[in-house]
Amino acid sequence: MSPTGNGSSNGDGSDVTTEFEPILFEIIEGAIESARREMEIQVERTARSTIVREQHDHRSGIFDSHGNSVTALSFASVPTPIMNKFAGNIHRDDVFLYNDPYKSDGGITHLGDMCITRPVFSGDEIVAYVQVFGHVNDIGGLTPGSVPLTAFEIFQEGFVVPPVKLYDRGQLNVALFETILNNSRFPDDLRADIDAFVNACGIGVVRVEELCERYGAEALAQTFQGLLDRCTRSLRETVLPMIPDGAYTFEDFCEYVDVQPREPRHYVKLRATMTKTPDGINFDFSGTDPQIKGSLNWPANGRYYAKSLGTLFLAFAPDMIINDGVNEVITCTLPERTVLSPEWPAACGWRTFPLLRILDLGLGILAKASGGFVPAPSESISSYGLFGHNADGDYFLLREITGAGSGARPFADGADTVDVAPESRNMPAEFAETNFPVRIVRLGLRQDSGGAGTFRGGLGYFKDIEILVDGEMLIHSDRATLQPWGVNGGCAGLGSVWLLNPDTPDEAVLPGKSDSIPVRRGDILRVLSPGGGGWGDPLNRDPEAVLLDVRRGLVSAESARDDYGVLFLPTDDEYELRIDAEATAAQRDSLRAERPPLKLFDRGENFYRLVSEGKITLTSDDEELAPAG
Amino acid sequence: MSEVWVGVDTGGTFTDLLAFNSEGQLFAAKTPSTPDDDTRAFLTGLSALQASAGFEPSDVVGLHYGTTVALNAVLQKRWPSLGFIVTHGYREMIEIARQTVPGDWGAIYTWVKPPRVVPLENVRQVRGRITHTGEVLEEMSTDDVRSAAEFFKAKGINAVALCFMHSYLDPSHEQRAREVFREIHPDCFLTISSDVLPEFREYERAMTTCLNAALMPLVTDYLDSLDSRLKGAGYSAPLLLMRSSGGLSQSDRVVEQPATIAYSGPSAGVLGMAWLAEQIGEDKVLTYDMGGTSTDVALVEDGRPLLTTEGLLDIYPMGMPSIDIVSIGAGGGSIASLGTGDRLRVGPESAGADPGPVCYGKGGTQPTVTDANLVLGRIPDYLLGGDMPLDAQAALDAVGTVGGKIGLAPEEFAYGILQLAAARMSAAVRQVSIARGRDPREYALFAFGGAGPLHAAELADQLGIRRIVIPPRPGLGSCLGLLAADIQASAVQTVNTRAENISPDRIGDTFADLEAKVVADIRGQGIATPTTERFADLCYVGMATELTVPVPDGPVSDAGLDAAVDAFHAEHRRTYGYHYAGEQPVEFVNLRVRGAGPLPRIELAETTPREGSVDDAVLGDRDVYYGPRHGKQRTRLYDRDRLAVNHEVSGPAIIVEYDSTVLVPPAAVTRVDALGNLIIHLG
Repeated sequence: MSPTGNGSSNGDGSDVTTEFEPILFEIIEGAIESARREMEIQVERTARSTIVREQHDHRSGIFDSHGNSVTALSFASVPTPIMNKFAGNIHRDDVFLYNDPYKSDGGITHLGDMCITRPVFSGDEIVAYVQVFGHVNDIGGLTPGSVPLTAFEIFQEGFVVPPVKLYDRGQLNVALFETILNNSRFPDDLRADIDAFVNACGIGVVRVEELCERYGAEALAQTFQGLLDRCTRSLRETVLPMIPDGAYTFEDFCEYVDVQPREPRHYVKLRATMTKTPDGINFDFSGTDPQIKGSLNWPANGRYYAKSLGTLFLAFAPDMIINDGVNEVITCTLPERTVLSPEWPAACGWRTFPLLRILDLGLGILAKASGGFVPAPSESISSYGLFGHNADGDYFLLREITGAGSGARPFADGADTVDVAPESRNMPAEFAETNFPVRIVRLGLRQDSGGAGTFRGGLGYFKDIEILVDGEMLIHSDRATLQPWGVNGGCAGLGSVWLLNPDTPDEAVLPGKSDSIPVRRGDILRVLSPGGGGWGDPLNRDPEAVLLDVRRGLVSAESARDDYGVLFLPTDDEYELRIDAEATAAQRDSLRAERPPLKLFDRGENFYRLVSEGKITLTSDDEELAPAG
Repeated sequence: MSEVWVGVDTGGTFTDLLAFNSEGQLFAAKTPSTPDDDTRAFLTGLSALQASAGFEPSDVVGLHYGTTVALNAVLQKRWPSLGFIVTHGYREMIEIARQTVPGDWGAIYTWVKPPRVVPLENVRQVRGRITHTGEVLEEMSTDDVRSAAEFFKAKGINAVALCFMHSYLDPSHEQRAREVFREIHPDCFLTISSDVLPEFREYERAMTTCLNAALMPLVTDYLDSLDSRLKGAGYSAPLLLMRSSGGLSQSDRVVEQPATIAYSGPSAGVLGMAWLAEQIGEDKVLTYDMGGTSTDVALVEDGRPLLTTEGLLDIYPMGMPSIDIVSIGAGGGSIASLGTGDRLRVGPESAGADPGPVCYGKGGTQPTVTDANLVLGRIPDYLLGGDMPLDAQAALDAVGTVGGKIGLAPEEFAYGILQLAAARMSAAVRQVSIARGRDPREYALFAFGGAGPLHAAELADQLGIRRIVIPPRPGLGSCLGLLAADIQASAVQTVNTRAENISPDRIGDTFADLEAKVVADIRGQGIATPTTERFADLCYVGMATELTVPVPDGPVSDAGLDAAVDAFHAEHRRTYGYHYAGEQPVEFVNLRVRGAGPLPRIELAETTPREGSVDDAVLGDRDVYYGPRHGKQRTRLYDRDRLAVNHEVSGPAIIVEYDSTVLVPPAAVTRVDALGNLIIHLG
């Protein structure tokens, strides 16, 4: 085989090292993935917003000169808005900024994501783009944190920046930057975030320049194309044969209950049909509800949805890198003016919830295609905010994303209190207490919240927060009514519950979505985050696993008896708990005889109640399972 | 007879020993490790060393030890049933951890939560609360402590960790709890978080405390048994252990903080290179230790390894200061394989020592890095001076089979395997360098360990490094560090105060307390005149990661604190490329004191140039393949032992020694320096 590169010089006349093509592929792929991680590490160490830093709500990417992402991606932005608007006017050391979802080619889908783009040059040629976006703390708008649920137009969600040059050939546009910062409630934080993104992009620029010098621009471009082709080929050759041909439909819903008088709908339907042929996969979102007068719209496009759904297929080949090559195999059909294709100027701050539901649609579809051999879903991003003035009179905003139990898998229990965003972190209680007027009274797990199953759903949080000043609260959660469903005979997990002053005469159940809840000094907020769905028949769960759950307080003895059919010998020492084998066998027989047939999906009692009340309609088919053999 | 200092480093395969005496003589010994009981190889090696060097056990005044006993216990999860006592309301703190799913998008579907260090049924809660300002909100319930102690006693749980909220500010509740606990369950190993790591962020502090408690029984037993065997053999010198932070400590200190010796051996290696760098005047050094299964890299500046407090012990956070070593699974045994879409991977899967690479002929079938080296002619077809023959044909077949699937000839593919291994290692280097804003091109690469000298040239080339240093006896890097170390102690206190609100008096008092603690600790280990240094961790208000900067000695003044703030702005610029001096407020997060008690150090004698030419060292010639650019070239083989000071060898060349092989690539030149180091300049 002949080596890649011409062995003498590239455009700059610098030395070019030659390597064998397959080896060069791996080296460049490793180098750009490593560069992406280095950029992300820099963002995490220097960004100021907790959403960026702790919740890992940011992403770095490297793109070829045509704007295709060649690094691993999901939910990621694209450089095409810059390439199209500034064609012929892009220079070395330019830095571009935008956050306007409607001018982002579907890559930035709510305003809080500030996106930085920098070009990479070899001589006079642009060889790549490097991009970092992250969800900053505050960009103005109706409520602190800039994600008002009640917004119905994007202008209520904060300032809107079209694609602009923040730096022109390395020179900062000071007036522009000052104006942007001046519109945030926390300008120091915003400045530190944007600086973090700009400098992290700088790391990526240097690394790609180094690759260019070493291997030559042409070899780099060829490799980029090869990496896209490899993603396409891996999906075609490895993943497609693992999925039976056919059409599979699934529906799920987002909640929007009494948030906003302009929007009478309380449940917004998302529907997708996956059609799998030997050559590819199409997701058709026909049947999805029209866009809403609220902030749950998701202004992405088919290319974006294909990429985010593409990550689901990593389960079939975990060593694949999903890049823009996915679009050759996975396509989307998207009707106009739905919640997944809203028209300007629809609000979109909480596109997060449809985003999470789309992942669940993917799981539901694959469950149908695979006979239930998929993980159960979860609802692992709920958040609250608390704002007001602290004892020193300073304006503060505390925001925390609370994870939840993840869905059970066909091979393992779900994990407790995790966040779907990888490497995300919660806020240490000591950090929260030191920096905000709160006391964390209890930091625990929510017993019985995980859906019962052969494998149990993970547990949600049981967290009590004492509020030490008068202020206002925000609550942003989904799955308060509609629970994370169970799969293949497993039960649904519990939905989220938010309580004020629990176990007192003043106890109040708070709405799952609200922009304004007044709170007083001394109030206690109780956060009960959702449990994951269960997988498989709970009566087939290993009784020893149930015993361990009960001994550890993760599952109550009542649930062990009623859901799992496991009974224990009497003891006054939990530590020495033992299974009553005979009674357990009898209990399991009797539960099995009495119950209705198991279903592929258990959506939880609230769901079926809403269906019977006519408040939601399900037009896809949740098949029943054959009786256990 | 003169006094003797001995360094002993237990590795996965061999236990290495190095000694020096007061006359400046050096002695070395090597013996196979005995993983079932490391003390056996320790004693065997010691008596071999004693026999060859001709000293008596009573001549030994210092025994310095680099051990993997703590690390292996954690990796193999070998600890006794552990108990945990925590503030009421936080029973599930360790289960919750940081709500993190490691990996990338989609990992939530595949990642399975590993069992926690402490099972939930072994957690007990105690009422009582100290706030973030150190105020006592609720007195501690001694009844709760008693019932916890009684519970652990009844259940036979004899190692317990204790962590209360905000105890880094006021340890009184934890200390009182310890007293009450000990009245009831006196034989239990008990460790409290304010002793182990008085820093804020409860989960990291609790985990560090739990790991410490988990290791206490095992490390105590191990060191007791080693101590009695040493005494039995006539050795009465104090045993000093290398800590992950790069300082030595007496074993009676170590048993209280066993988690601090987790990276004992690797840290000693870095320290050895740091010391060597000082000897030859290299101020920016990248240390590179490559063995059979893993590679460790670290940065050294001005003779000092860079430290971190964000380390990991296996999968667990470890907040105690340690040398910032990045370790990846890339070594001689790393396996090359094809994945989805013919994606070529090298490691982290390793063939280990058994079956080992294909060429070992012990049943390995997948090609490894060592097989690739053999195919390319970079290593001879035997190991250990000929004791162990290698099967070159089997290696060629294995490499050829996999390479053929992607259209590469065996030599081409073998070359590619080495390039990819180097690419993975260069990514690890960038993790330690780029994350600190350092440019690796400004550093010299110090390569050691069995495989480091063979792969250094490729790694340096990928990083843009031009200068490589290979110490004499590269396999003894860790021993060198053991004999070039000080006794060290450190102390930390969280303060969490904005710079504009800070009181120099209060900071001065805190530093004085920390210094007193550190000085007493070192004096207690027999060093009369310890030195101390002050540091502070600072950040911009609202940041969650800090940078450590020095604080001037003497009375604390506004000017001194301003200097620390200025140093922080400068370090922020150096690390991240920009700063906010005069624009954003700064916070003091932690104060730190590090102390050192100097010990006699090894010296490498300068060798005078001797008569004779390089040609005396030539062993022969061989064809070696260097990739598409340089092709196959006739390569001269040299015996390192016969190379003398100032000898120069031009690449391509291979320099062979007992436990390592040095590759000098085409267009590179290497010279032997006065201390016997090979200094390679890449072309």
